[in-house]
Amino acid sequence: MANVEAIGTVIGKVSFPVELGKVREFAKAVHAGNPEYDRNAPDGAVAPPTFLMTMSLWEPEGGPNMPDLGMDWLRVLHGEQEFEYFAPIRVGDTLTVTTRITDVYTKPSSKGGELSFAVFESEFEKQDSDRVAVSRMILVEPPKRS
Amino acid sequence: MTTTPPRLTVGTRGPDWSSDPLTRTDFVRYAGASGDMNPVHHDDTIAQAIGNPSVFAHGMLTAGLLSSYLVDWLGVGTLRSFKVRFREKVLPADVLTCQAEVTDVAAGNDGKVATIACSVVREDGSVAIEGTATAACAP
Repeated sequence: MANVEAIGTVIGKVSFPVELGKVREFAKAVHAGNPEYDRNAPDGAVAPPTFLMTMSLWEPEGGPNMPDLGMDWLRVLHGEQEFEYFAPIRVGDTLTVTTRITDVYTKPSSKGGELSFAVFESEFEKQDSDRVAVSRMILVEPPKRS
Repeated sequence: MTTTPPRLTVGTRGPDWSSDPLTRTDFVRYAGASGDMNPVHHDDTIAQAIGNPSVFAHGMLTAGLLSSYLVDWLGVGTLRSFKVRFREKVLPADVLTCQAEVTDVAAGNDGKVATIACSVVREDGSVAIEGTATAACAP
């Protein structure tokens, strides 16, 4: 059963630098071929679109400040992921990301039972306080087999 | 510097692109790069214990491949949004094909914006992920 009281909870806020080595490592891992990821790019290497996932490396030890969502973490799947981009993110930037739970809900499954969903929204700001990106992660717990 | 956006109209398709067969090394490289160390992506014993045939790719590795394909086609700095839904697991030795097609072009706040339906398809035709992107395009 989804715990709707968790909606609105800020589960973490952290700042981290966008580093050349990490951008190159990530670009290679996602087979990014574009030379703009190169350090010789005139305004600094641009981070690949899904580079924002590396924010997890900056979570405090023990993980984020997670309330009880009423979900069984061993059964939870990554259902959807969304990014909105407002400005390029470049090597040398410092990002501050605030993550909050924006929705918790259930839906009947076509196969019977109930699907539980939780939506995590992360807002990324640059050193000059401009909002540069938003990411949304939707986690899903499939119905329990009876 | 960002790339000059391409000219896009409804029906414009992205180039054909297929990956080499994916390897466990690809999964391990993504695990390290992203920080997602869930053992189901690198430890067969654990992956099989919960009902998988073997380790499988991080959904965000497959999504990352799709975003790289889109950036190679559309240019750095042109993406305005990127959304994916995870459908089928991707296994070692899978060859993935990326596809994309423009479904709408509309006036945005700073020029024209194209909406693009995109997907990653496995060799058996099953859809690993389906997505939608929006991107700046030439007037």
